[in-house]
Amino acid sequence: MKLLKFLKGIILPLLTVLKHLFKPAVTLQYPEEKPILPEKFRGCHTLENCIGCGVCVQSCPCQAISIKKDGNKVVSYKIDLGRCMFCGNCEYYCPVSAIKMGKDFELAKENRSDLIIELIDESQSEGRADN
Amino acid sequence: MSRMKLNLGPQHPSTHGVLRLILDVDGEKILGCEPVIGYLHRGMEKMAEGMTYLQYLPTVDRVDYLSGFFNSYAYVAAVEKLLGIQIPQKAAIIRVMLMELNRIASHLLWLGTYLLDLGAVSPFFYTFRERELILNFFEKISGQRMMYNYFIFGGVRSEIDCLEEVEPICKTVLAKLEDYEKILTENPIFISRTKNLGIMDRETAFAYSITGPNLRASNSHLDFRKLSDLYKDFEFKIAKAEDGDCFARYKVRLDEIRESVKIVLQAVEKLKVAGGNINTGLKPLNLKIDTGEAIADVETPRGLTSCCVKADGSDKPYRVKWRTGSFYAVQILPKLLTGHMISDVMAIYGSLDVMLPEVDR
Repeated sequence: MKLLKFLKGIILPLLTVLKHLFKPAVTLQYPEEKPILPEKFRGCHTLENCIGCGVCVQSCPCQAISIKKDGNKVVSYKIDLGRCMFCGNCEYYCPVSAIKMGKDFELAKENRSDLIIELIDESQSEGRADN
Repeated sequence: MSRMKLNLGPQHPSTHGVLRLILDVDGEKILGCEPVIGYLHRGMEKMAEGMTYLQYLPTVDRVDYLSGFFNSYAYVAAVEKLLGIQIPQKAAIIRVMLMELNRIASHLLWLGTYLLDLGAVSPFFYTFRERELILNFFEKISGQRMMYNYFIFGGVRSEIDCLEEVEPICKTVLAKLEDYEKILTENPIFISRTKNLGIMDRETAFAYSITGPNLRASNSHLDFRKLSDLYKDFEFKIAKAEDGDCFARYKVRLDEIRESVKIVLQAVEKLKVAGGNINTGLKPLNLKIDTGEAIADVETPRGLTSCCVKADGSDKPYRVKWRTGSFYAVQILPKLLTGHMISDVMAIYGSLDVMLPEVDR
């Protein structure tokens, strides 16, 4: 009786494990296959129509954002991706939804200085100053 | 006599973090043990003093990265107590649902890694497969898999627009739990490695301030969810075992997953009919809080987590103090390990579900 119980305890797990041999694989073959990212995914930032209010700078927990203004015009908007923890505070508290978290997540760089990215496009900010 | 000191860790794969155990051994037998913690200290408490209330909120998830929602809840609830605001009913239900899903994910990870420590590799993949379903759901609602930053002062960030996905996840988890039980509960190898090992009786557990599943495996009823207002509309049983050994702790955690599934399903039913706001619309940017002190407790997968926030009228907390369950589980190790063999160290240590980032903060 004891032996029977012992054998059952050995064979049942093995059968359960064996069953999985015939099931489809669930692993994502990452560099070849890209993951499907959800709508709210928090990746690298994009910026459009920034008014330079500085809410993102105040809400950022790791001082990753720095803004330079010339009068009312934003001339430089830098994010240090090496500092950023992708918490999404800047996106959530932006009053005009200017800063958005995109879907780019492969952000490895060779130099630390390359991690500081500039989000203001010169031509774009020129056009915005007219309004 | 071959008595010697043996260093286990800090770089040991089974500690799931960096813990150093100085073992006093005689051959294979353990005569004493001294846990050395602090290798993962990040200064979470001191850091709060230099940040505003809002800035500290995203970092709180990192106190225990396997159950981020619980830590967020403890801090957010403490600040809400200081502000004296009531959160909308719908936000409270969403919080409960997410926390219970988080508990399931955390226990599943524990089960997989514990069996990995014991030498069983296959269940590790199975539990991670089910955990992945839950994490994908979290990613859809909050934007990240583990560092959610989803709770805000006065509610939650956004509506849950994929609520219909929760029920299939719960069904899958329940179905797969049967599989795990088939593999483990009657498995003679698993039983002989966990039964009557590392026995912690009720008095010792209370003396060492052990909480959570570890305490409930030692014949105790203490579950802080039953005492909190947040869970008063939900029906669930307290998972409990009597032996206090590693096998009992395994049983309690598996039963807790079942109870959590029940709570999640109840919450889904409530959310389907619930209306109203999901947050109070509080502007937290330059939040200044009057002098005061508040503590919020929450029952996490690893025991009681309390967050004490002291305000001094400025926009930064004067002091934030964390109390986490794992810290106490490490302190009981010398008591549990003495008299056992070296090969049992990881079986006992793993069964306590210690999360090192939570120990050191």
